[in-house]
Amino acid sequence: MNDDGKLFAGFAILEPSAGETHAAIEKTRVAIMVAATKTTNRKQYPKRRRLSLRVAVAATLLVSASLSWLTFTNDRLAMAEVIHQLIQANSLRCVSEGMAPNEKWFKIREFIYDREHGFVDQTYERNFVIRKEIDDGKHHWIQRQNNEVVTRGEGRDVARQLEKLLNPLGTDKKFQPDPSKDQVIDGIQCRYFFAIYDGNEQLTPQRVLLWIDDSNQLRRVMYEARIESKWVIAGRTNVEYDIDIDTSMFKPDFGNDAKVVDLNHLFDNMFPFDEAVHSEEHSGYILAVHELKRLSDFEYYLLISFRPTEETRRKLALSPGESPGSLRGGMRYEQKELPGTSQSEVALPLASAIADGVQVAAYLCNLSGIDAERIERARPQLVLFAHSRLWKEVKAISQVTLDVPLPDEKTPLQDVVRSTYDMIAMLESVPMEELYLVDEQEERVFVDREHFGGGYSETQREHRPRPSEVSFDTFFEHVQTSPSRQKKQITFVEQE
Amino acid sequence: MDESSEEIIVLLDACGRRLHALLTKITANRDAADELLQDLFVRLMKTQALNEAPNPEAYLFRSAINLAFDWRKQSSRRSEFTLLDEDLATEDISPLDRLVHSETTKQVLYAMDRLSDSDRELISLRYIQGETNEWIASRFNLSPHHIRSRCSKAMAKLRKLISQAEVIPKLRRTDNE
Repeated sequence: MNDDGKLFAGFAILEPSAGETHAAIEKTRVAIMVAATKTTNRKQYPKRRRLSLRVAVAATLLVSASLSWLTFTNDRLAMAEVIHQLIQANSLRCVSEGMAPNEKWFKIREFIYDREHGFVDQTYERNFVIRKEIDDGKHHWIQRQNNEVVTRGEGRDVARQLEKLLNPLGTDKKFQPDPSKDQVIDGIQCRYFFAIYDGNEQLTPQRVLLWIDDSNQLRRVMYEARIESKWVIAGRTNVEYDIDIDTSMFKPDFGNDAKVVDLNHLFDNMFPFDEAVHSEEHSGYILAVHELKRLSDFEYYLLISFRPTEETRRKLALSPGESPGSLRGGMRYEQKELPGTSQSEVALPLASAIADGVQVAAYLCNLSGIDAERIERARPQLVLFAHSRLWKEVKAISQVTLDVPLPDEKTPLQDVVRSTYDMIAMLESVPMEELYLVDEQEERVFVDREHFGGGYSETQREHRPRPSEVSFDTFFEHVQTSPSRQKKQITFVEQE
Repeated sequence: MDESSEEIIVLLDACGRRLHALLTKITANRDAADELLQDLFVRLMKTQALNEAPNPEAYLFRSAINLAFDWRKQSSRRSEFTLLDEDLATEDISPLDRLVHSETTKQVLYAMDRLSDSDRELISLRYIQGETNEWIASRFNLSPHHIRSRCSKAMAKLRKLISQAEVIPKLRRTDNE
């Protein structure tokens, strides 16, 4: 490696993984679409410029550009149009099935919709219901197998629920017609459309096929994956309309043993900011310190919550599950008077939980470096990422440093780790948007699965176990020996 | 979506992977890189600047680099961020090399904050992102020879800035525990 290479070798370590980049691009795609709906009155590019732009891009990445070209032609079908048509029905039933290796179909999910009463969405495993969701338009209940806790949240958008079921590609790619594959389904002539997701290093290419009848109603969806150069059937969803429905199924009756937890106010009740040790407002969000404990002269424990103000909530009008913004602990780095010397305060995350737009995080903050002095005030440095809909008014990313006096009394490390572990364990029975402990030394990778029509999606958690996956003793041992806590307080003395 | 929005999506599909990698390397912060990528494209939606640029792709990379260095400046206004440990967590290199790389990377970024926009842009693309002279030349309507020459001059300035920053007094260390 030459000298220039050595100088820049460290940047290679920072190269994001294909999965991280894919996720970032998809988030950006959504942000563009949201912004597009708000900029319909702006000037269009002159036609000549549009052409040159397209040529410039096509020259750089032909494959990508050719896929996107599909969206420019006219006779394509957007999934949103299909869903819009679907929910105009008085009632319908969608049954999703997967295909076993022996080519037999097995039921994965059943979605029943009644325009008057709401919807019931049931997920199956080996013919047993493992998850049942009931939505009456006002509230949304979720009951999971072997879990006595039933959660109740705000009613969800039926279109969004159906899109999740029917469009595992999760993209806005439009569906291309192919009249040669039109066919008769249940005695009804249907037109055929398809869309291809070309995959990445982690996901194989996938294809979704749709059959639509003459009334523009969806009749069947097929899901295929590209395996060894062949399209292989993975699953299907059949749709029936105007079915007989027992409307009692929309009543949330989960039996006497069920304990209903109101998800909407769970965190507001557990972590009320008006009872916090310290709270302050930044860029339309409230940061509240709920616990602040001194562990030693150079270390303290912090339990903090982050939520949008009521005004920000109203402005954002969030959909269920949509993040209002987020907060991350960072590293504070202070230059000392002596050139080249410094101190740093590392925020070691211990746990994180997010529900109903409230984020709760626990940190161990550890000071190290030159001539470190006993910490008298907690000054954790946090990074606030505002929701993109607020960017006109506030900065997208702000740095916030709190300043709160630390108590003199010292608390044992084991006590704060125990209380954090127990808090996350208690929440584990309640479905959360995010819930985990942070364990840098946990080498196992945990997988969360979410079922959709024709299969399921997986989310991996690295170094992010839950209490059911790691014992307290192991977790505590890992916290004690964390490299982030092993940094020394150093005193330098000038040499004679 | 209107046609111009679809064009922005085409640009995202074409350049998003490279841009995200570049933003991650300059900010050394994965969350910030994600947010800046969104910020970049949403800004493009709201401006006619892309329309006026001689080369839309070059404009896009220039904007991304400026955005990332602006973010660094804003982050360091009150105190300085360092690379997060998790960003450096890899078993491919030894802990010592990791430490050296971390320190060197910080020095390079710190020095790049002080370069001119054009020099910073070239170094970002040529050395941080690892693009070839030919790739850069085709985007900036210059010859590869011209790019090579300008990169060489920019590197000389960068090395000078790094050497000026290295004022490390002779010190003796004692543990305080």
